[in-house]
Amino acid sequence: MSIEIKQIEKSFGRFKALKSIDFAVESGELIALLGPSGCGKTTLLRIIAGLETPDKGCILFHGEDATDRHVRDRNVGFVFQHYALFRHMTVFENIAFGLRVRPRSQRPPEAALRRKVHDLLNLVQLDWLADRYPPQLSGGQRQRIALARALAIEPKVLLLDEPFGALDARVRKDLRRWLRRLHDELHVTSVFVTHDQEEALEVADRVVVLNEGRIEQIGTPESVYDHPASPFVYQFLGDVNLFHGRVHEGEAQIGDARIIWPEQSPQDSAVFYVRPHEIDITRTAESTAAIAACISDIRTLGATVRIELERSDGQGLVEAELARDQFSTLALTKGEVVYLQPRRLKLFSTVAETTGQ
Amino acid sequence: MTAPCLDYSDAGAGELEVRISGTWNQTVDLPAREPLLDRLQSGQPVRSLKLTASELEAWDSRLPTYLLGLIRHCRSRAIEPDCSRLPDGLKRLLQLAEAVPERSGARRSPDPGKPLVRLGQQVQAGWRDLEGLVRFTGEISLACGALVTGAARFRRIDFLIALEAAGPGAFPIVTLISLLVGLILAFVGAVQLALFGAQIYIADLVGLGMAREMGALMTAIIMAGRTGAAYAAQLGTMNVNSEIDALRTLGIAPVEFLVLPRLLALIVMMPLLGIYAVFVGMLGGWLVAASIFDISLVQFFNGVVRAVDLYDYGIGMVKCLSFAGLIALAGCMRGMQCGQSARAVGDATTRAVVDSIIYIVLADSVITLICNRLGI
Repeated sequence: MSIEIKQIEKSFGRFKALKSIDFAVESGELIALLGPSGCGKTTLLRIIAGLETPDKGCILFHGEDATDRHVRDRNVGFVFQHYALFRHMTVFENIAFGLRVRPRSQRPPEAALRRKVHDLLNLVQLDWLADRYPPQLSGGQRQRIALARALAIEPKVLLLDEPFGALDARVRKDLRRWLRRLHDELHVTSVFVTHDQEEALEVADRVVVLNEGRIEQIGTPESVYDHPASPFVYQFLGDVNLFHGRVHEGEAQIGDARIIWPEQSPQDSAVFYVRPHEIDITRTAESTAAIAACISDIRTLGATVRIELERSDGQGLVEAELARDQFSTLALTKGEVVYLQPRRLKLFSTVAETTGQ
Repeated sequence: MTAPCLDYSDAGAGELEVRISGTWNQTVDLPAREPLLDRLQSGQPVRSLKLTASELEAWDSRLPTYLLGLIRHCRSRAIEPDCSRLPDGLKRLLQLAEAVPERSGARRSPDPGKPLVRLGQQVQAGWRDLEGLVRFTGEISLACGALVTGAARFRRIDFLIALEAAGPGAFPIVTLISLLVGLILAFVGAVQLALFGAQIYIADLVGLGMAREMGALMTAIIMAGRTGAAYAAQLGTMNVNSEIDALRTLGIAPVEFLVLPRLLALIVMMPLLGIYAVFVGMLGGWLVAASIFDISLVQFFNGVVRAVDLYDYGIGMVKCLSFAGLIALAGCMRGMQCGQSARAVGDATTRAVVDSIIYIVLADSVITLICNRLGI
């Protein structure tokens, strides 16, 4: 089922949580709502579910207006960050709950119900836990049970509110791959909320980046990462270095460095964005495009090495990331003066840039 | 070391020159800001403020703090401060302090505001509470309607668990409290009645007092503290844990599913506990009558039968029923309205108890008044 969100607005008192949100979810798509905490993503999800009502705007389910439709008629499955399993029921009863409480005419017979619950338990690979109570399970198991419970009512839309937010990094990684595979099997239209960019980029078909109640960008993970529409998206989707400088006569000037950039229009004061892994480090200045810097710290993070450098012209710190073998060929040491060469620059007009100046 | 000094003079064209000199560090008392602020407010209008510090000796962070206050004050009055003649280090510190805007919400506690503002906020909060109460009462009424037509959905096991917790679970404490209340009533009455030699009327006093008033009231107060608070805590925890939202998404009305069984359990159990409390209280009264005045059980029993009508028991039961409804209402409402933190559960529990006791006493007065008017 497709979902269309049109001009949704919501305020809490004087605080505007959502400001004119507009986007559509295709049938069978997995969409991530990504943004920092407090950006309104959970509110938006709750509005889609019908747990909150918008102040303005409407929501279309499969082309029909569902804004005033009651939660129970929307047929959505909702997975909460803190699982929200019923503590006094066994795992089996938790999953069966949504079916058991249906009016008698729609309730499946007991045998069919048992089969269905066991199928779901198999789907989430936890069949052996049927008789346990939620407090006896680990976080990852609880969240999978919560997902099975949400799926039991055969929802047309699956909504997940930071489903992996309360889990540790390793379990989170496993679960999000598992969620992606599950989605590929079931093809139920899904929207999930997260503040973790890695999670959004890995799992989702499309990503909606939200900030302060507004949509910053919508697109596939690749397009959002490679072509961020605003400085906010650039900074939110990973670490970034800011270089202050200017664009003059087809050159980007950062300190004493001149980087050839013919197609760019001149600008007196510009901020260039460069990701840490898009910086080359060399021992000698091979061209005018190099920025001198002194290595102040080296940290090894598994396969990559993170190097913190202090620019020699006193214009602040730069972070660079090298692959492990590249690092060992260079054999860099702390305190050494090296030259930085950005491989790729991104420039946003300074008018939009208000902080960091 | 010279004392810190701040003096100023007009430099013409609406410009005020402020000279900072001497030592500005933590060992000295800083000059008052007021004369300068007064000068900015009155006298010739000032358009810009030129800060100079050619005779400044030592300084620490107190100076930038002091100046920052001054600069902000100037900005709020549309006076342009000119810091260009200040020493480099000081200039940089001031720039740094101004570079990052204050994060909203970072202050420890919001300004409590003026008394009138606070009063207004309290009135608004009270109004919202009232709205919440009316809405919740309406929801419960609708749920009860659904119950009558058989459309309400809740699990029988939940009702039985609530019944068990509200009834047998409260048995010991109700026994103890009502026995003691009977004793106290008898003691207080005995002293007065003995003055007239009318000791035998202790039976009337205790019987009537327990049946019409104290039985229902004491049971209600016990249940408010025990069951009402438990309801608020249970529902509040479910709210914090998003279980109530989960119920909604599974297509279940939380008021039917969670509130109805609890309300029904209290309505069933309270009259039973109430009548039990009445008899235990009378027993307590007899213990006093027997030990002090040697009144036999038969005498006491006859006295009670003569004094207490079926109507009196009826009034007690009516009170029990209405208290039961009010306790369940207050407890469940506070639980359902509970915020999203662990602390909110505690608040909800406290408010549930306070609310129930207020409702109980109010309802008791109203019922007593009505009975008095009707002459029952």
